[in-house]
Amino acid sequence: MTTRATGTPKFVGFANFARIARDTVFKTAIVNTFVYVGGKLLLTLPIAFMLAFLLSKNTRLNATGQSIIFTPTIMSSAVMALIFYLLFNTYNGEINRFLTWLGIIDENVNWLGVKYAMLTCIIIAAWGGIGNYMVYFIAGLTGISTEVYESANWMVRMQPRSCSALPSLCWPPS
Amino acid sequence: MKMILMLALVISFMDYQSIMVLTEGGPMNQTNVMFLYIYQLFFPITAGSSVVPGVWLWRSLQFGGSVDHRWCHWPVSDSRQAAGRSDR
Repeated sequence: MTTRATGTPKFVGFANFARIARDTVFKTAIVNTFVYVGGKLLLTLPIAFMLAFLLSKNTRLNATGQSIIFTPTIMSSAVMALIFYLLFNTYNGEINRFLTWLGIIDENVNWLGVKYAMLTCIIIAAWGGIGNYMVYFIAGLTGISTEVYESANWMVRMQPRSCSALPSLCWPPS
Repeated sequence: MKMILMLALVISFMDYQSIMVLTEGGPMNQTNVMFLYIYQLFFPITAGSSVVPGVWLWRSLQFGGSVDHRWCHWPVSDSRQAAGRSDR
């Protein structure tokens, strides 16, 4: 088959796979992907669980809180990144200004530089994802019967309620 | 919990748009993730192009201090300005 765009195709076997295996940037990209995914999960899931636990009771205040936290999820990630581009700007960014005002940093930090770029990306992605996972966790938490909490409280009075909810969420009774 | 973990994992692997807008995989491939690399392989983004608004956004911040009329115009890339060509 010959087309004007591609010319005559030529069978290359596994040459493309060999090429990608030699590509050092691709190897770096794979490592970065796992760092990014791991960092995002480690940051997102615990915070989402905490928020879900705090806001799981069916009150008007909690519903408002859930709506506020869920808002970043419906925002386009490109728009979100642009907003954070302004916030994390080295010279005019509000984050640097705020940290300087608090006295935490003396000179402006380059948040999108070599040292902190991945961390910044993870923080931004986590901010966008927390609301989504919070809803999932709330759905899971509302499925746990009150008897589980009562029995857990009877066993250990001082144990926080979240500790008794987590096993039921991980291993739900069949 | 397993379902949530699975969803989180899949969504995290697919997410590259915010990185593309923020850093384009840089600096020195520090934030270059797999899908962004593949995307850039097919649709290369050159430095100073008008695809990512980093350059003109930066200029707005540098000279204006806030968002001003420059936002309304489609930016002319640096290479085109240097070559003295119009943005058509």
